[in-house]
Amino acid sequence: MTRGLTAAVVVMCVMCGAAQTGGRYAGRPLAGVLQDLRSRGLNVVFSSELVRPEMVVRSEPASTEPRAILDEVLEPHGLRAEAGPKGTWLVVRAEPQADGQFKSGTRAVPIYATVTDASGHLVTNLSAADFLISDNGTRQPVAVFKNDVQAITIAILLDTSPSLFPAFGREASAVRAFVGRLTHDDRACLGMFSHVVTLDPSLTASHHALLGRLSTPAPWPAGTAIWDAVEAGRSALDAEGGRRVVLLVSDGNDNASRVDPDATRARLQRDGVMVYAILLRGRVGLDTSEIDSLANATGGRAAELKAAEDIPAAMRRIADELHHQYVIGFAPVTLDDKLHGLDVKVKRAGVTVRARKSYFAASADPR
Amino acid sequence: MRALAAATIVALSTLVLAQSPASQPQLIWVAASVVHDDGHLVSNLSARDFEVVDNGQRREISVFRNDPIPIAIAIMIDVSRSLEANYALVRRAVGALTAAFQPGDRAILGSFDALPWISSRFSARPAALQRSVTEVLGGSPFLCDGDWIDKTSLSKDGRDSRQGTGLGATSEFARRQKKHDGSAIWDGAACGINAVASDGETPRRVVVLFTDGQDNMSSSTVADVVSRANQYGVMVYSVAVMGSEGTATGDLRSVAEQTGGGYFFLSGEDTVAAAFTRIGDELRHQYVFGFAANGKPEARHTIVVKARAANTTTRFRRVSMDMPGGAI
Repeated sequence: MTRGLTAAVVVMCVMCGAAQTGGRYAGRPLAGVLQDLRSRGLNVVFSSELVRPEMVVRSEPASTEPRAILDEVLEPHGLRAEAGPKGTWLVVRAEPQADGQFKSGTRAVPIYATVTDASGHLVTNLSAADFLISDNGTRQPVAVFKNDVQAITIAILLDTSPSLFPAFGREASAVRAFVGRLTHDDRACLGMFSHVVTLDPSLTASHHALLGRLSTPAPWPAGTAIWDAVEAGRSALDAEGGRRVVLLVSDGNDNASRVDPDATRARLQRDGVMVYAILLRGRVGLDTSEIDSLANATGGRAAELKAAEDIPAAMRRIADELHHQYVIGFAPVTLDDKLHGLDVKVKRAGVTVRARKSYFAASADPR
Repeated sequence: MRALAAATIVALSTLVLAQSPASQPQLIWVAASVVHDDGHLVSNLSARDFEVVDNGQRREISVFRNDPIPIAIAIMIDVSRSLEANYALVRRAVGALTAAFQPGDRAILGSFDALPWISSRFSARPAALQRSVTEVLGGSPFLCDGDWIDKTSLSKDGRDSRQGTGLGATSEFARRQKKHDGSAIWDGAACGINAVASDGETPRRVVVLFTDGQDNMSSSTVADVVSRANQYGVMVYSVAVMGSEGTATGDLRSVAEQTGGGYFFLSGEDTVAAAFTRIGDELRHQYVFGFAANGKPEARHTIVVKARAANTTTRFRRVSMDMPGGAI
C-alpha cells in the first residue's frame, strides 16, 4: 500500500481487528457509548445519519477521561469530535487521510483531477473540502486526497504516418521536450505507429534510453492506426498502478486501426488510464473529434501544437499538469460491475476541473 | 535514399533526416504486377529483374519495395434496381475481400444508382465494413460530391441528401435524384477514385466496382475515369455481375486494362471466393519501386516497365507515393 492509489481500483487496508469483548465499552453500540459519555458530563451531539445503529465499539478504549475516550471510539468509524457552541462536542466526519489510504474495508476509486483558473493556470492550493464528487448523481465523501507531486507512468506513441511527414521535425522536438520534463520517479515507454504499432513496452526512467527508441526500426509507414496505438499503450501500462497515461502525438486521421474503438475506450475507462494528445496539422489536416472525445472522457486533454515555437511551453504545461494533478478518491457504495458516471466539481468560483467521467464498479478486484 | 533501397524499414530519425533538401529524391514511383503465361503471379523478382524506360531513356531503380504495402480500396456497389437480386452476393464478396485484410489494408464503401454515394471514412475492421455494406445497400451514405454534380441545384449548406432537392435551378441534379432506377457507373468509379486518392498514405490504391456494366446516367465518361485513375495512380478492378437486363462487359474490361486493374465475372456464390482471393493476391504481389525521373517528375512521362522474366506479362501503373518533405 506504500504506492497509495496504485491501481484503477485499489484494495485498501482493513482496520477491522476482532472486537474485544468485556470492559465497559467494547462490543457496545457506538450510539450507546456516546450516550454514556453524555451521562458522564461530556456534552456530545451526534446524528443517527453519522452514528448508525450498526456501529459497534470494537476495542476497549485505553483512556479513562471521557473526552479522550470519545476520540478513541469515533476514530475507527471515520468520525471525529469537533468543538461546538456552548461547550458541546459535535460528531463529524473525519478529514480524509493524507497518506492516500482510508481506514475501512472497502476499495477506493481514484480520480486524478486537474484544476485551472480562468487564465488556464494550474490551481494547486485546494484542499479535500473544496472537492465535490458525485457517483451516478449521488454525492460521495472524499476519502482520499493528495496534492503533492506525483510520479507518472506513461506510454508515448508518435504518429509516423505519411500524412505527418511534413511535421516529423516538430514531432521529434515535442517528444524530446516532453521526455526532458519527466522526473526520475516517472517511468515511460515510447513507440511509433503508422499502419502498424512499433512499441517496446518495457518501462524506463532513463531519458537517454527512451529517446533512443526513436531509432527503433519500423515498417515503412503506409497508413494510420491511432486506436491500435492507444490500445498498445494501454496494454503496456496494464500491469502498472498509479497515475497511468497514454500520450499520443498525431494528426488524428485514423484509417487503418484493427481494434474496436469502443472496446478500447471502455478498457481505458475501466482501468482509469488517461489519454493526452498533442495534435499536429498534417498533410490532410487535423481531425480532433475522436481524440478530443477520448481525452475528455478519460480525464486527459488534447492540445494542438500549431508552431515549433510552442513546443517547450506546451510540453512543460502537459508535464506540469500530470505531475500536479490532485489525487482524490472515494469509496463506492455499490460494486455492481457497471460503468458509473462521475462528476467532480470544485467549490471555488472561476475555476475549471477536469477529471475522468466514469469508472467501472468492479465487484472483484481486477488485480 | 540508398539506405532505403536496402531496407524497407525506417526509423523516425531516418525520416527526419530525409527531409533535408539535399537528400530530396526526384523519384517516379511505379506499381507493377507480373503474370506468367500460365496465369500465375510471379512474386519472387528483384530490382535487377525489371527494365525501366522513362521518356525513351533507361533508368535505374533506386528504391525497391518488397515489404507488404497496405491497400486502400474504395468498394463501389451498383445499387440500381437491375442489381437488387445480387445484394447477397455482393455482401458475401465484400466479406471475402475484407476477411483477408492484412495489417494496414483498409476500405471505404460507396454506391451508385443515378448518383454516386460514399461512406464517411475508411476502416480496416471487417465488422465495421460489413456494417458499411448494410448502410450502403440501405441507401444511407452521403452524396459523393464531385464535378459530376450540378452544384447549382444543391442546397445552401452544400450537403444535399436524398430527401431534398435543394434550392435554385434544379435541372440535372434533381432529375437524377428522382430517378433511382438509373445507373451512373462511371460517376461512381470517379467517386471511388477520389476517395482512395484522398487517403494518400499508400501507393496501392484500388477501386473495386460491382456492377452489371449498364450505365445510363453518368456525367463522367470511360475516358474521364481512366484519366482520373492514372492521374492518381489508382487501379480499377471491375467485378461484373448479372443484372436483370444482362451484363455489358466491354467498358468494364477496358477500364480495368487501362488502369492496371483486373476484370472478373461473378456468375454465382461459388465464384466469389476465387475472384477475391485472386484480387487480394494480385494486389499483395505487386512490386512498388521508384526511379530517378528523366526530367521533372511532375512533367508528362512516357514510361515502360518490363520484367526480364521469360513468358511473362508486366502490368504497371505510375503511383503516387508520399515521401518526407513532399509528395512525389
